Amino acid sequence: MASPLEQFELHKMVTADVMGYDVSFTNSAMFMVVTVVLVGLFLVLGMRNAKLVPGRWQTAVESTHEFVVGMVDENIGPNGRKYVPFIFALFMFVLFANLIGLIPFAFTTTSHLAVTFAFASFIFLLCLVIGFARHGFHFFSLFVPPQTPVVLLPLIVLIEMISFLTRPLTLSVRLFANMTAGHILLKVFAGFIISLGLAGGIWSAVAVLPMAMNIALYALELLVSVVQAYVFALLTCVYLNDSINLSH
Amino acid sequence: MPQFELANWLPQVAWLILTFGVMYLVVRAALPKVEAVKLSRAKVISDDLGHADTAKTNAQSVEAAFQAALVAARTTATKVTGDTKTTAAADAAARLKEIDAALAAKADAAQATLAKSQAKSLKSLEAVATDVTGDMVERLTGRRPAADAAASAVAQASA
Repeated sequence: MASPLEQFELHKMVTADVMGYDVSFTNSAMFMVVTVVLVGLFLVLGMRNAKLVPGRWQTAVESTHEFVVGMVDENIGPNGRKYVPFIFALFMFVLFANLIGLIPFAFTTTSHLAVTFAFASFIFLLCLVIGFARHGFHFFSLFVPPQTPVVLLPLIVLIEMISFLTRPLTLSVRLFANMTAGHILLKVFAGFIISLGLAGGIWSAVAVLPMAMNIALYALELLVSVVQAYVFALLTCVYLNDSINLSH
Repeated sequence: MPQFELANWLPQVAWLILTFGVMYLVVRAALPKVEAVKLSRAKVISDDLGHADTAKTNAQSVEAAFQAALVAARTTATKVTGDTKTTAAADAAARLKEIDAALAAKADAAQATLAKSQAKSLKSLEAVATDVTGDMVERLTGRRPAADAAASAVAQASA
């Protein structure tokens, strides 16, 4: 039986390298393309001949937009409006990648730390750039919460700095770990179904149990896919808010 | 785990930058249309609400005018009725007085006539009584009393 980790392996479909660096087109890259194409189709076809009274598809597009705008307004405020396209793209990319990954035999791009860490690092750098551009060196006051007793100041600043610097790590590991763990579980129970089914006799009947488990897990994974996409976008908003509005 | 093989990182990150870059551009191009549709819808709704509000205000002012006119009409009607009533009452009183006076005059005249004819009749009654008395005394006594004596006896009896 194949290892539950086999699903995360990359297969080079087109080998390519630029100046000695390996940039081969893999199954992971292919599913990134699929994700982008599906999101693009969702947006373009949904808003094709957009009407005043929207149809179902147009409603779906408008609702997701409403959702992201609401999240940005709530967490960043009016200054965050220009980051709506970025947050929207981020949310839709992660959401579609997570959901596409749940289709059997599909590859889950967001189950790779490389992908989630690239996102998280970019967001971290974006926060730094925006923070220093808007507030200059005053941005360092992010590490000093208001009304901190002077005695506790060194400790608090240290804690704040660590929590700030580990943001890319926590942001990326949360998504990667959720997706990886879910897919491993699904694969393990799927393996049980096959081996019990092939065992014959009474064991074939017992195979119903991991099957039921997998159905329940699949439902859970659908929820996790949506929730993790939401959390990823939400935390991005929260981090951007720190840089844009510098609450303390 | 394939996730921790560093050889897997570069090809994924490179393609991620490319695909997400394209995605960002697609989203940037697509969102203004979504916003435009939502704005136009919000505009239509707020316009309709504005129209409805104007219509409501109009209806309210028309109703207020109607109520005011109704109150004015009612006041005028009450006033006219009151005036008419007062005039009619005064008129009636005046006419009543006039009629009363005329009737009183008539009654007085009648009374006077009555008194006159009563006196006249009484006088003739007296003459008749005197005659009758003379006749009765003549029949009873066979002797006719003197006219003076009969008249004084009648006057005495009728007094």
